[in-house]
Amino acid sequence: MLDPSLAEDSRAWTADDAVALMFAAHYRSLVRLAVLLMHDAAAAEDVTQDAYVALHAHWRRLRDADKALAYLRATVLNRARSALRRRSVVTRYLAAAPPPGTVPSAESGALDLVQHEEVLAVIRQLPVRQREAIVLRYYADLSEAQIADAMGVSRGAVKSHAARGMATLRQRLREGLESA
Amino acid sequence: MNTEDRLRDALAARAERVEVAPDALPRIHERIERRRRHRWLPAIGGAVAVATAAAVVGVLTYQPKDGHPPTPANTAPSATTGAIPSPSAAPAGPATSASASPDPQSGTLVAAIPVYYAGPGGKLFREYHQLKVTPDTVPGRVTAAVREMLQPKSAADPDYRTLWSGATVRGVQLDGATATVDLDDAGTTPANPAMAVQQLIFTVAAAVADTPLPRVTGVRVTIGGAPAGQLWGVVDTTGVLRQGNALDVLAPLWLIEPHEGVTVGKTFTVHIAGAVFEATCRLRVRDASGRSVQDQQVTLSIGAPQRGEATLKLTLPPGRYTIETYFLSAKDGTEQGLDGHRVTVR
Repeated sequence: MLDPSLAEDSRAWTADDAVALMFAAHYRSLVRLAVLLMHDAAAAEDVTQDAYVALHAHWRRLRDADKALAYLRATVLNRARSALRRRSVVTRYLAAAPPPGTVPSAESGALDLVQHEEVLAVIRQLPVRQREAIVLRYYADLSEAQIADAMGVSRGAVKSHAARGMATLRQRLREGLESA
Repeated sequence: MNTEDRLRDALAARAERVEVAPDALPRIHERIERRRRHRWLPAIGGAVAVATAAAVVGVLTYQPKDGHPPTPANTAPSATTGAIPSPSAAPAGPATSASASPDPQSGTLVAAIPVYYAGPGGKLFREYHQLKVTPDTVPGRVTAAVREMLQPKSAADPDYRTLWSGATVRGVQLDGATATVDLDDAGTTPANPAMAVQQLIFTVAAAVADTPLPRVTGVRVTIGGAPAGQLWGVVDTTGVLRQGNALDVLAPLWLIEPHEGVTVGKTFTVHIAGAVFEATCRLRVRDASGRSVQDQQVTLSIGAPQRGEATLKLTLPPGRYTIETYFLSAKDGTEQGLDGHRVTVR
């Protein structure tokens, strides 16, 4: 009947199991990661779904839940990057899409929202690699090794991308403060 | 607050606002299915077919993924081309019973497209139908969905039905968040005209939601290309008809998988979505004689008024079953919101 033991041993999963179980565990957080990278919810969901389709095809070579998660993450990054490369397409969709909801939730005050927007605006303008390094570190809380793995670069490169991104962020926020 | 903390807060707050599509898993399954079909093509015709199939795929599918620079995932097909899919990956669902393949000559694609129907209780349920899309464009896709929705008895589940009768569609135009549906005729007045209008809007919105175009939230109805004024003399259609609140329009529980009438392996996925009190619903299995052989509680990812979902695995001996989901009324403990599908376990 119901088989709770299935979740324990990922080596026994079929590709279908892997998709269903990894979906239940990680889909939402991967979409959120993609939204932070792409700033477009529909496109983010699209690349994330793509990553699961790819996972299905690759499962035979992964056969491990942790490897599968690393694979999903790397694929989301890759797909988001190539989607952003097709900038014109994305821009056109963004222009046509209704403005993103700006209604603050009950628990986040209007001031918070303004401050968040300031930060997010800078993040959106960063070069892709810097944004990836920063989002993986400060949103996904990954280690430097995990980030290097997901981005497909060396740990040294991760460090320098993150450092340059943070320097830009600090500078822009300071400028914002001074001009205010 | 230092910059790192501000950054963490801002990213977390932005992420918190992201909600995912309630039907993401079936969409992934649809894409896997489509990909699997493409993988089979080369086995038939050899290298030439591979090239043709690849070209056709690039043109005919909506996913932006197709035809883009290779990424780790994109390189997979070359390695697995012609491979015989493992038995565990055997197709399930109506998606595979139809002969679904792109036809390069006519620009026609057969795709699984969501269509809404009214079910028991009068609210809406969704089914995925294999539809021929000609031409292969987003408006073509929406037109195919609306045409199917208007067909009497087109629902796969005998408990579902269309609320429209005698209406035919001429075409659909998309303009940002608004779609214009042009009908030849609106047919006879439905028993519940407001719900019939929602059936149309949800079907249109869902057909667009699978494409890269902006989401549709409103529908304008014209008849014979001219503003309709009123539908059936009761619904004002001078403006844009808006998508209703999911809580009012959609049935409280959907049994998304398995689909009605499918044959599944002994272990199969059950996927439930719904807006129920305290995120709690039930899953029951009846055998061929109608006897309940299993009845258990299922907790969805989130409770009403949000639409939560749950995916679980069920293993049953071979036979015919009805898989049902329902919830118990918080008021009087009665069974509510039943949605059930007949399946064969092989």
